[in-house]
Amino acid sequence: MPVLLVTSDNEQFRVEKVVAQRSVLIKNMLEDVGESDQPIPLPNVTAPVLKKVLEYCDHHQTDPLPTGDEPSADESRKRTTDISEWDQKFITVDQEMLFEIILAANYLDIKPLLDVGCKTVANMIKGKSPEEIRKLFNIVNDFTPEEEAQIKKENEWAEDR
Amino acid sequence: MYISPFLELPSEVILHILETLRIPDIHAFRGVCRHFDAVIKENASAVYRLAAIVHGYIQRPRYSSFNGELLEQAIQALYGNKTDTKITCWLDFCKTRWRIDQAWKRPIFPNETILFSHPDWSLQRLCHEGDNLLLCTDRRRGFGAMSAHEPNLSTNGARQVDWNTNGNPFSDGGLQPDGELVLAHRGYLLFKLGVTRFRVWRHTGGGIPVGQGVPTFESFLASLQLDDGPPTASASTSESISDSAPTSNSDSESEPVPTHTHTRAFYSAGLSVVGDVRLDARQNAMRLKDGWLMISTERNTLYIFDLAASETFAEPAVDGASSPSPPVLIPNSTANLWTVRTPAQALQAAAAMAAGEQQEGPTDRTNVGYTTNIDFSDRYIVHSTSERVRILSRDAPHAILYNLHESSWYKVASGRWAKCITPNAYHVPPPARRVNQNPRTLVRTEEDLRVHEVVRAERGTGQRRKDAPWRWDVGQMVLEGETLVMSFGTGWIVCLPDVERLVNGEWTLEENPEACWVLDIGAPASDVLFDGRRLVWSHYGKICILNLHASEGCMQVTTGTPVVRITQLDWTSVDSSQGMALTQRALWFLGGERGEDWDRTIHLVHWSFDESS
Repeated sequence: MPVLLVTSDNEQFRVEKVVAQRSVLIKNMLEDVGESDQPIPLPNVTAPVLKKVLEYCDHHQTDPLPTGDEPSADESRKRTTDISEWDQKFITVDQEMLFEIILAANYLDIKPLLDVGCKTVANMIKGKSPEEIRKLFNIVNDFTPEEEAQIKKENEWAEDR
Repeated sequence: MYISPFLELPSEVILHILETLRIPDIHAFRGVCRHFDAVIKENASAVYRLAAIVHGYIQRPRYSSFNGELLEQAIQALYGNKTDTKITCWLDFCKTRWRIDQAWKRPIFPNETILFSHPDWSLQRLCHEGDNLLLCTDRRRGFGAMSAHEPNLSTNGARQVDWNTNGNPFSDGGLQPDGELVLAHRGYLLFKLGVTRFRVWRHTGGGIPVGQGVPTFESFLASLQLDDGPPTASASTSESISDSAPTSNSDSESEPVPTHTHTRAFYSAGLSVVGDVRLDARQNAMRLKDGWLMISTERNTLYIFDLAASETFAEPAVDGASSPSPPVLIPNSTANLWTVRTPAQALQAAAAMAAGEQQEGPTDRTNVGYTTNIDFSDRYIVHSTSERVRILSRDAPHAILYNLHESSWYKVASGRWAKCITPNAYHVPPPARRVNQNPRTLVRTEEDLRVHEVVRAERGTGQRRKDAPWRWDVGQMVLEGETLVMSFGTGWIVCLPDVERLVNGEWTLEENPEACWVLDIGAPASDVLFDGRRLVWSHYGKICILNLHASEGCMQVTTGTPVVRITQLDWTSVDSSQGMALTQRALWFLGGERGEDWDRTIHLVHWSFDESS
């Protein structure tokens, strides 16, 4: 049975229930309302982002759902390099979309997608200096020189490069 | 004004991103802007706890979320119930461990201390148990213990056990329990009473106690002699024969069974008997780990004991007139290693059973040979014979999860084949000097090890004829977490960094070079230690340390990973190793040296991390 999702920009998406239920948020909402044709509003997600998220959910619809506290083989081997080929291709988007996807995954409670997004950002940070990270993500340095020196001093115990 | 979308992420998502970063990267991230600095400062405990996992300082929990309770469980699993290791400040914990790691990466590890050198070959092996270093002698002279508790150790060699002046403490009144100490781990001690008979002791505090304030070898021995007075050198376990212990087979009936006359000191030291172990035949290989004992016998029976679940035996009456016999431990499970089955064979056997056939179905029995080594983790048992190396299920020891010996052959040249487990993915390149035109150069001099780096190599550097007999000449085997390390008589140290991926079929030895790498050290290693982060081995009078923690990701060894040499003493004359012990901050070595007149001296050598350096 299809489910109707409505984005913040009032676009409607009709998707299979099994795909929509990759989101724990939507799954819980569906369980609460029962069998109903009522559209599900997603006020924190825009149409382009939801389209992308649904593409991920559709591709991973047969994956086992992560459970709360049970041991998970995937989690036990969480590593930065562990992004599958399809996921890597999927997440190769511009930075704005990348962070939108991460926020949407966090809001919709899609943990595997959140993992992929966070690992991608972590891989971008890895091995870079603060200045390089600022440049990469277009972040302004708002430290005073004294604060910067203080942080450098506090962190000097772990300098290895 | 443009605001980076990165700055709009909630704190919990930022922490999620930091989950997989190493400490230098976290620090670089902190230095980007005030917002990131504030997030890390406010969540310092969580951030450095996660960093401790990334760096391997603590084990990665097998749970889907890194909440505090589960992490505490993981830490408890790693450190036991020792209250002194409870981590209160994760930043300080990471700082200390970072400094230790840096010390281990130095070309020569500092602060060598020769704790003693003595012409006494009764010292048979070295065990590291909790905070203590146990020196095991032969059966008649018991064993000695000294504190290896790192904060109490002098790093400059100030504390030494002077055997020449004080006499041999083992013969002059050392601890004389029943039997010979053979294994010790986290509060459990295994003594060999006879060919098929063992006794397990337990100390509830997690380690052998040493004297208050002055944790010395002598004070420990003194603490063990409160009730009985110092046992005499002539008193030996074989002289005090009793009929107290019932036996179940002819082998053990012929053995002398000791009484508890000399064991009262053990009780007063807070040790108590867990029970006796009786085997169906002579033991082949055994491992004591985390409260579990596994023993395989000559008849290829695997006994598995959960010692932690066994109640300790009550202390005997003070008068000592009639000490009751310790209970015989019942194994939690046993398995016949002749009849283990692969999953396909298990299905066939189940089908045969369902069809009402009487035959037992196919097994993996062919030429299984005797067990040469065994080790286990919380999920797997690794079992090696001269013919096979198999990974069995911990839950069902009859089930084979992976057959390492079935790895494929590679054709590397006309008529030349290499097996997947030969040096094919990563290896130590041979030094320039070559011996006997052998493509694998023997490492004989210090120079041979000086410039070694572990690099990625083309497949098939190992050369072997396909029709040549292949022996799984596994010397030592260590399974630590998901990593299996094996030393081979051919001079290889083989590392399978992630056994779980092999078992699950995510990796194959044929297609994933990172699934297996080989150190070709050119000569058999006499000792191999692996704590999940450091790989230490000795061969040809040298001790080498490979810092795997210096590499990133799933322990893919990268170019430039340092091999640390320790070359003190006159190592060329050190011709035997009685054991090594590795702690976070120290390395211990017990080895024998041949003198000019063929006299022999045994050395206990200690290298430690110096906090001040």
